[in-house]
Amino acid sequence: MESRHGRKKEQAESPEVLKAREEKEAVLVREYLALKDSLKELIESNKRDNDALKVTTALLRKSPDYYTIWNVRRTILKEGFLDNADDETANKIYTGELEFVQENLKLNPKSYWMWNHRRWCLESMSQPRWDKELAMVGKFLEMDARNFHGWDYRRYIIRQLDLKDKEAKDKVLERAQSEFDFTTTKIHQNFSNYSAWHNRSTLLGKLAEDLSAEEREATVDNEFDLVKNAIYTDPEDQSAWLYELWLIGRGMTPLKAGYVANIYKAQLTNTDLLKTIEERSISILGAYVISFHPLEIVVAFDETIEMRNPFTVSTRVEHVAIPLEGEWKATGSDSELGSLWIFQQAPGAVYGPTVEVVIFSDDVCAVRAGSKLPAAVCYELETLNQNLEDISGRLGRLVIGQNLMYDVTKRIGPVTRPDGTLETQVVNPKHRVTSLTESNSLDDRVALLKREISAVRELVELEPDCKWPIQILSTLLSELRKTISIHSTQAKLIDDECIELQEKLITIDPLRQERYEDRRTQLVFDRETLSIIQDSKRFPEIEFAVKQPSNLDLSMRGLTHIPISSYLLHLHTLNLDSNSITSTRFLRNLLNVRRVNLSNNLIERLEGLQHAPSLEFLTLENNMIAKWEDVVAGFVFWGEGKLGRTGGHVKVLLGNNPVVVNEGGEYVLEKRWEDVGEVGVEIQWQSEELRLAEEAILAAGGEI
Amino acid sequence: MLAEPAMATTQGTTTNKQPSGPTFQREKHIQYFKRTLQMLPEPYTSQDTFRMTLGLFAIGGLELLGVLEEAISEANRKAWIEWIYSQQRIPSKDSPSEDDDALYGFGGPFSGLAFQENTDGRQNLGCECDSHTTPYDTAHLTMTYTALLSLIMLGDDLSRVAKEPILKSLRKLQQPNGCFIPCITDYEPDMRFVYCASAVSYILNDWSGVDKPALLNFIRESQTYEHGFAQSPRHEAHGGTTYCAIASLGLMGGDAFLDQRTIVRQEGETESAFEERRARAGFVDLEGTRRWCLQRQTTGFQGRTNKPTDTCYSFWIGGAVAAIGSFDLVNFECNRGFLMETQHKAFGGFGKWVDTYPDVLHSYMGIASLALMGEPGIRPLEPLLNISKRMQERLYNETVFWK
Repeated sequence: MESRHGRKKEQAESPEVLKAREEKEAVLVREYLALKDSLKELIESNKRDNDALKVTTALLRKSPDYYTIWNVRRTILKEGFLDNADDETANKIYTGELEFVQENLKLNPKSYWMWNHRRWCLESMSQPRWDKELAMVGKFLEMDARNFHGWDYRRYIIRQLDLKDKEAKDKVLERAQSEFDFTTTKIHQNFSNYSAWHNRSTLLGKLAEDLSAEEREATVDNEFDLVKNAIYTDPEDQSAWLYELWLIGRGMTPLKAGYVANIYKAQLTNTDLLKTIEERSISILGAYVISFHPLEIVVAFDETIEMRNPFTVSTRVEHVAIPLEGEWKATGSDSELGSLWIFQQAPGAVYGPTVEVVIFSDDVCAVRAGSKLPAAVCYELETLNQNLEDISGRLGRLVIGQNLMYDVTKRIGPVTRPDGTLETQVVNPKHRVTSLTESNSLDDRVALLKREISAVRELVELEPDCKWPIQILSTLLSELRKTISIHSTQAKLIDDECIELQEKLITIDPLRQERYEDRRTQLVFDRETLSIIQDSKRFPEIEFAVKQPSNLDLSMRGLTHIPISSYLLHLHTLNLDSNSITSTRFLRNLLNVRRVNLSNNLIERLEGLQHAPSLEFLTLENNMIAKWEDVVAGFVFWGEGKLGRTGGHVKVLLGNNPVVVNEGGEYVLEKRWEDVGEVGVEIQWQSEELRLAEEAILAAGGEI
Repeated sequence: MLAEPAMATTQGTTTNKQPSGPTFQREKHIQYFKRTLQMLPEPYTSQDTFRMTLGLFAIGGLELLGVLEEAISEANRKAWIEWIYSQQRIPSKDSPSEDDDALYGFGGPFSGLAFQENTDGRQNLGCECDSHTTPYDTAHLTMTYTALLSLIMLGDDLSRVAKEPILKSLRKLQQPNGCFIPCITDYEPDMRFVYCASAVSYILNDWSGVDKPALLNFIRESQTYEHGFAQSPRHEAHGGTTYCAIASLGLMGGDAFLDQRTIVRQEGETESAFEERRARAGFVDLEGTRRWCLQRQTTGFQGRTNKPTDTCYSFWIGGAVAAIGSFDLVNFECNRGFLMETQHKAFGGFGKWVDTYPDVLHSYMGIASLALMGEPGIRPLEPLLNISKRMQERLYNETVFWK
């Protein structure tokens, strides 16, 4: 450890050593207090002479961060010496101060106030020698190449010089070039000097301002070469990798997978349709009626949103649209946030033959940074035929308990806002190719990404256990994936590769394991649910595919959570056996699900069950549910009908959970069932395997 | 989406968030902080001005360790309160003029005002001053912040704090670019004082001393391309300043924690209304900040890219990650393991590095980071104010500016 920090290891100190040390300290403290007293006297005496100055000198040597002393010193200098001095004398005094600071800086390179005093001198001098300062700080950075005071000060000097040359742009550029060369030198001395890389990024933007497109490209190519040079020298060092990411730029990072592909397609046919790519879009996956009496409508989003204003629901009575009263709530007990929102008509409200739901961009606020609803969406519903059995919608008939769910909607837009203005789409056709270059064609971006991907891939093959190239490769692949259709073979190959990369990272970089697990779960989930969604005609969004699978097998996928549970809205059967899932909260969005297998996961508590109105069979064997309260928690709102379940039969298998042993077995638990009342829940404490075995014995005429 | 604790798929494994391995030397740390309060050892004489700050760390350390009231007697707590108030600079009765250059708030103990026992039973209000009597030894923003926190912890209700003069001084200290300097004579506006100004405003429950849009703008401009925050624009991202920036945003509340990219001009919205809305967002890239912070974990945390791991960044970075609600993504085991190595086995306290002499700042920061991880024997910590949750409640319920 000590060699890494370049510090001497301290010996364990004996009591004698400690005592001696304390005595020595006491002497120092006494000396210091004496000096302080003399300073106090000094201030009270209003002396402005050499003796006074000497007292401050002595104190500052001991206590460089004592701002009061610096202030006193400046006053003594100003009033006692500088105010009546000619230019030459003043210059001498300031130079003396600079020397005083410089000598002390060597001992205390991190003292803010010393650097401040230096600035005061230079800014007060009639002819400050900034060039000398630059040389001084250059030397300083030779001693400690990472001292941020040094780098900050260097930038400060350059700023002062640039201010002087405000009118002479060539001089400013020349200086920027020379600073740029300085970073090159520093980087070549030591590739891991991130301070130098950082400064380089601030200079490069300035230098590129007046360059032609070709010159910029050449500049960027040079930078990529420098990066290659660094990463091949030491791939374990992150400095150059960070700089590479800066070069490539992240203009498109906020987008969701597949969105750029849509933009890309549109660009080939109709540039006017091109939307801004700086923003990530929220998609509405679909809207459905789940009940007519009272009217209930569910709207599914592809991420968690907060409702800023209630979505507008209106009905037409004799060609006049009038608002339909009712309440919007997200599923689940905390109704403020959610990806699934349910409208319930107010008791007594009357609706006509058509009902319209309009969701304006402003109504929706994404919880995840960077997302917004790109344009208002309107859903129209015809209510003339209210026999849910007869209506065939896009999704066919989906049974929810007694109800039917069907697709009654057709999306229309753009729509008129309440104030009469039209919501339209924003157009922005320029793409950033790198941080410094841009182009009208996405092909340039794709070409750059492909080139860098193949370069990094080579390095990953050479250094398979090095975490940085793997992370960069994964980032670049994700960027590339955004430019192709989510259902293409290439996208699938990228997904598979990215998942493998995350798995590799989990094994070689345990410090960020949870982050990689998170990412891996997201990627696996995206891959496994591809058949559920499709590109929307209203790009750059996605929506539910016309044909929905009713069963989904996600067993043994290593999932830690369900990233977007609204995707699973239409499923009847879901198998999540043998994952690492810790919460059942996602069940609240599975309005249609009847059978869920969550055996062999890491669940400690039942949650969200009351909002899974169709659930009939839930397997939770081999989880970590340890207390009776954690079982009951799943049913507390059961029967209250909070847009959820009002009853019905459900069977829950809880075999091989610690709760069975902890709470004293079947008998006690059955008695305590009174705690939740009669809600039609049947719990099987015995494991299914054991039950089947017993059944077989009984069937064979045996005894248990 | 925050990850749940990572665990193997096999059953029966316990969560890796439970502390295990080397022992946390709680008793020794308590002794360490007690010693610190009694005598400031030699390494700190160079920081005499910051005695207030060092006192805060010792008091705060004892509070986090759950022994504040038993370690400092009531009489001593009262004496501490009086000493702190004796460092308050309040306007002189004779010259409360508007153009007064003096700076109010709390300062270092040099003003020539030694702490005097209250012989006549009057409460100490502080040192009456104006620009003529104290041109050198003005109030200092950092010390105003630490004085207020210390007073809360010592059980004072802040009723003697001169709020209006402090707010007036804040207005003077904010620079045209939105940043703050700590006192008039300083030359270096930076993020540390942005945090102090935010915390002071929060504690006084009054933001009228701060131009919030300008402050937000300064914070945003200081976000670097790696998405950490620097001391001021164009500089390199740094763990301490990243904490200061994020915690300031959190204290400002409202839309300050939003990512600027979420705010898009709406059809029909005027340019100025849109700009105003955007100006209230605090981040250029929140997700990027999260990534940068987590990349700083080595075992404990480093303060900048490719710098050595240092105890205090377990809090500076850890606190920043906690403030944006992602502390679960930190590897607890390794961070704790590092901190167990930097605690001094014999004397208590924490050093900067393994086998370095402990100091009070690193001792406090080490314990604060352990508090974020739920270490037994440490009180829960509120990351934005860097104070125990118990004391945060006291601020809300028992101080004059909040109750």
